[in-house]
Amino acid sequence: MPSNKIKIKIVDVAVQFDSIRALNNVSFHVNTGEFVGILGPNGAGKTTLLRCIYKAVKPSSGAIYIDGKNVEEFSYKKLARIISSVPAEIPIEFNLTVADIILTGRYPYMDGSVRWWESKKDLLKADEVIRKLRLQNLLNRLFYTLSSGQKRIVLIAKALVQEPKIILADELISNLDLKYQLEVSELLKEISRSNVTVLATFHDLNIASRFCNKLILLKDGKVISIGEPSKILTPDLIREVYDVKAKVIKESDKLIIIPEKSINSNINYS
Amino acid sequence: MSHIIDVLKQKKVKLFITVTLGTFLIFLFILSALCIGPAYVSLTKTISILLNVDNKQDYGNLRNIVLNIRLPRALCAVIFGAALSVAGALAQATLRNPLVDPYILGVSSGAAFGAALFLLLGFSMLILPAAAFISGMIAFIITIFLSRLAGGTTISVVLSGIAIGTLFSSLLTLLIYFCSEEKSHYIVLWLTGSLSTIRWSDFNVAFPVITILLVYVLLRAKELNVILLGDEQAMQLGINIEKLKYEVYTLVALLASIPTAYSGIIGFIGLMSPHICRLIVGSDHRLLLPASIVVGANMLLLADLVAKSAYMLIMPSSPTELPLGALISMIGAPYFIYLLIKVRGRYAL
Repeated sequence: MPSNKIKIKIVDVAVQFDSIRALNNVSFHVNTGEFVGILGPNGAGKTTLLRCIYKAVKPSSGAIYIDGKNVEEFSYKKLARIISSVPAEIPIEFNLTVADIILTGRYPYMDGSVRWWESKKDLLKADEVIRKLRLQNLLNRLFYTLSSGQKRIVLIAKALVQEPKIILADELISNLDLKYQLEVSELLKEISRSNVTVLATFHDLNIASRFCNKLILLKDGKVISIGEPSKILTPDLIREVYDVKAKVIKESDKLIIIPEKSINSNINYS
Repeated sequence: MSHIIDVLKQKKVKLFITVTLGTFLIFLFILSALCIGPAYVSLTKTISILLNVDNKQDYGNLRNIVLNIRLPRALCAVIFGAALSVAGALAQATLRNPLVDPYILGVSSGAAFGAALFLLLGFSMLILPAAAFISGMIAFIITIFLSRLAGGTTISVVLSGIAIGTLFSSLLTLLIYFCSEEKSHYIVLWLTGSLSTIRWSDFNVAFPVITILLVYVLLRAKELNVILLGDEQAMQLGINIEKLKYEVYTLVALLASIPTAYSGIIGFIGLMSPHICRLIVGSDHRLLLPASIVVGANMLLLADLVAKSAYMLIMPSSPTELPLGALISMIGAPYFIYLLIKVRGRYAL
């Protein structure tokens, strides 16, 4: 069970990109060991929110606190020992192997410029993750030759090798087949059980409701609602956020969301 | 823990074999470079001149040719080849673009123009590397700025670099009309690329500077690995990306400008060498950079050997050198076209 210690606190965060307000006074907190799903339509501000947490975007106002300390006070290297991210994709111009990518996760621990190779401790950590995620046979494979699902697992491995307290995953299960959608979500759920806080953006409401213990609904850069999946994924809120009429069926402790009709369609079918 | 340790062991073995074999070839080519030229010096004579073992034997002018003309030239080919190759590897990693090198980015032409301009204005030869660096850096900055304006894609960087390179080469050509015959000879050599004017005084300046730069770059190999994952991932892994980029851009300009100040525009070494090395040792910069050093050194040594000795096949009666830069471009340009087609298949330009 997640402990109640607040890990991330976001206070009145706003982000302005030229004339676009990407985030609008967003406030919430996340406890240690929670698996939080960030939901919302395209352009709602989900990715921007994650990027603010790892300092890739500086909020125009407001503040983000990790363990009570403002992220602006952390150096990039120090923050990299607390937060790791699983990107939706990485550049594939060069022939990096799976091992090359996983070992970059130890960079935040390789102090100074003199150390050329990874230490025994670095290798032990990498090996532990590689075994856990069963990547032994892929280590010498070129990353760009992997399937989307394998790529996502490798990037999660890189994130875990970082020994983070927080994992941020953008578009966690996008482009993955059904099997990998479940495996990747289950993996992140299991990671969160070991007191690592996970924030991930989702488009699939069913998967998010099944694996996350807290959901955040965003629309136009604003938080519409936060809470347990059963309280968040109601037909009214889905309609408000997505402009979609949906049926929500509760079956024991699971929710089944069936989208039925788009309201106020952007496309003119006539 | 066998798997990841095995991977690391394989890397170390690959590094050892590449560097050992590469260094052996460097020695072999240096020895050939000392023997071959308009005046042929036998291997035995060359070795005894080098080791100074046969003091009684008077080799006359041959001693001077081997020790004061061919040796500094061969050693400069080693360090210049290494510098150009590493500059290419650095530019490719930071821009995440396998199609660039200092020549394609316009840095070499910019550097050659700066050096020529200072020479024309009557400054000492000693400050030419500094002038070349400033001008090369300006060319590089303009290229990066233009490529961003043009959309920042892989191909926009290449096109901006070619435009800036052509501009500076044209300016360099124009300079010929404003200077004396002796100086215009230098400018022509800069345009075509040549190691024929290299003397010990050049090596004595270039060697320590390039060595220090190469050691510094080798120590940054880990950062370059991380940067291949993209700017945002690099930042997320603890790198101050803006600072690192400016640092690497300066290193690229320095490593490309210093050889250019002495040997003129030599393109494509920085494109071909890192690419060949990636095929041999992979993209881990802890292997790629040392491999680029030895492969780049070998490439320029070999090209210079061909430039010096090709007359024997073409016009045996008239010992003239082929222009080194043009010679390398004859291989480099088709290689670039091959990469362009290959890369186009991998991702959108």
